[in-house]
Amino acid sequence: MKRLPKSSFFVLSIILIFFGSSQTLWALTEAAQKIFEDNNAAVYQIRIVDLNSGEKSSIGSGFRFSEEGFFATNYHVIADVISTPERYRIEYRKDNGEHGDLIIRDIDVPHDLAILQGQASGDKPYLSLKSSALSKGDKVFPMGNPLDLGMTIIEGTYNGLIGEKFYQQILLSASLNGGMSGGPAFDSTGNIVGVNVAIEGNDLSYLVPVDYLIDLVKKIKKETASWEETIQEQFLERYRRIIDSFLKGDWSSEIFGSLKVPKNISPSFFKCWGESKPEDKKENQFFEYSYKWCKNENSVYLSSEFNTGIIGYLFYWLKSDTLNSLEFSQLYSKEFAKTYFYPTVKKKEVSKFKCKNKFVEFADHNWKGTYCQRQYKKFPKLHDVFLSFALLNGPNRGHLIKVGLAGINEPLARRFLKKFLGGIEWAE
Amino acid sequence: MGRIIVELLSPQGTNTERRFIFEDGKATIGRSYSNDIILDDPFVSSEHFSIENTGEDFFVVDLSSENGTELSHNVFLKGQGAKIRSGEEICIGKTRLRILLADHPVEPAKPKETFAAVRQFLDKSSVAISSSLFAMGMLVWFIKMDTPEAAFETKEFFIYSLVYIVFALLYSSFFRIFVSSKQFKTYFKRFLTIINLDVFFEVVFTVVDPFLYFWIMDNRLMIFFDGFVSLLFSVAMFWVGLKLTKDVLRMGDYIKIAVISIALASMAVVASDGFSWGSGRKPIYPAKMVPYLQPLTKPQKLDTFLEESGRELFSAKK
Repeated sequence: MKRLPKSSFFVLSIILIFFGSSQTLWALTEAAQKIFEDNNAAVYQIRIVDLNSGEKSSIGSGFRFSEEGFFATNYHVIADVISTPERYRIEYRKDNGEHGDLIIRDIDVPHDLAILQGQASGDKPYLSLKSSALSKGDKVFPMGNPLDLGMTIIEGTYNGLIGEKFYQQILLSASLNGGMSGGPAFDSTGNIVGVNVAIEGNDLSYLVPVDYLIDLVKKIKKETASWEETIQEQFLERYRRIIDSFLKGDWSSEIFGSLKVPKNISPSFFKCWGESKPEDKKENQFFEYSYKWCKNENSVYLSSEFNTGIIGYLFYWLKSDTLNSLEFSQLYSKEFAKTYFYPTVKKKEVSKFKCKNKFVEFADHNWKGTYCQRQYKKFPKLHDVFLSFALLNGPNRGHLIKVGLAGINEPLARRFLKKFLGGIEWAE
Repeated sequence: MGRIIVELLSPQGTNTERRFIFEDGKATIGRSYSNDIILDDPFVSSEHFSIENTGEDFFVVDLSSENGTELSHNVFLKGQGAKIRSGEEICIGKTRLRILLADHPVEPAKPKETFAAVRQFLDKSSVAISSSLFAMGMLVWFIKMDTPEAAFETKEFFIYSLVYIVFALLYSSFFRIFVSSKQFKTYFKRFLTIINLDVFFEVVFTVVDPFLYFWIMDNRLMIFFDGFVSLLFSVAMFWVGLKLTKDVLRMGDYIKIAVISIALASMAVVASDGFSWGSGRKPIYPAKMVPYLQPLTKPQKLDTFLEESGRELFSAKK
């Protein structure tokens, strides 16, 4: 039995470029027709072309937004070119055959944005970027080239911003499809509001707000330093901001089992789930338990190998009258050994987990504690950190705490953990 | 006229494979079916040699055989006869025989060896059956403890039982390679009982091991310790196995068994490597928990733990 975390809750962001589902036919309104006609000339398919075969290996969308020939798209559309530039080139292309080469000018990994540059546009049209405010229910019109079928426009409804400050996304009820990643989304007056980025479930789509693109354009890199360095710095900067805002916030606490634990630290960042079951011999349920776990759902696309940037934590208590203490410790040991909150990746991407194990005292009690860490091989400044604690218990009852931070460094992890774990108290 | 006994010896060693008794003290030996002792050895002639007597003395007479007859003390006969003493060995072709007279001295009876008694006990069907039932009972208890949700009617339960049965049958049949089919049933019973004992001890150990491992905070040390205990179990099993087969196995067989066991064990280790602690994709740490036990020394404060462990882990970069 897999008790935790339920896979159905793991609604992973499915990146548009790789996935497509059957297309929904939208009855286009007049507004949509007009937006399409006005802007079509500046929206392109972005192709990642394999140098050896000369064929496209993946596709996305993008748009020209300046006279100098700057294009915007998603970082995940061009991530392969960053990691293996010797194998690919980037090309923009229109249905009518117009095409040209692009180079990467800058990236913003946490927001999943990239700026590319082709030859100066001359008299070619481009879209201008300006910040715009929307309210729930407003119509939004994403454009892009789904599944290499040709440029399309669809209609959706704006449903507000989600996520932690500085790293928000627009939630849109629309069915984006694979290949539309990086395409622009317009409001009904034809202003760009965001860049298509991800889908989830049925008709849940996400956009990167245009403001982040404007910020990126303002501080565009003058020279190209190592992309790996940039990616790592941006990743850590994201954590710095998120953890700062956690630490500044007022944490309320709640009773869970015998403990007083921090209540959802930041509802905009963490999504929490929980479950409990009473002991029932007839149902073969030989122990009573309750757990709650919280985790951010919008992970960050690091490379085509994996997404990371997850913080998660779990509180879990269990007790039993049915099992004898030998049987219970068997169960307790097994639950203690389970691990969560780190990405599943290939061996070549990460080092082995190394762990330090100690008896630790906090919340007025002794715990068996483990601190584990592994390093990302291509991004050596980033690490997965995982901690697990089991209360040294009396007979037939136990308490477990697990925390994971994926893609972080030691000082940032420590800042978070000190406050998070230090805030846990004994409540009995 | 005295009786004479001819023993057919095993190809190596001094074990007797068959014994022939001639009350009149006369016998002919060879490949032909007209002989008193018929040998299948291709290097033996159809009428190879005969044993004759003069009432008091016994003689071996080579009947002009192709390869001759060899007695102890470097006496070699071809078409000749020679006097023979009780206990003397005769070698013809690749076959060895020993001649004994009725008054040949025998050693006094030995007291019964402990293990012989054990062997006899284990040869009873009732012991094999009841130990199997007992081991199954242990397993049921263990499965229930390990996965309390696995009830009798669930699939997991039958899979566990099936694995046990297959394992027990395989192990019990392993020694079949070395024993004759006549003895197989006996050995099967013996080994079934041993495997049941092993299951019993393994289950007991698994239940007790959190107590042993509770204070071991180094995962590598724990893996080493765990490996050491498994090794002890295997060696014990092997030793008991040898003791029980002592009455049929020879030195060469022991070596073969050891080599096969080591090869199988290493294959199992290599195969399991990828699944468990070799993969490196999951954090693995000593997670054994036991009620009531507390640390032997003062535990670390949380902040010290976070700082020290963090520093140690992050400074050990490649």
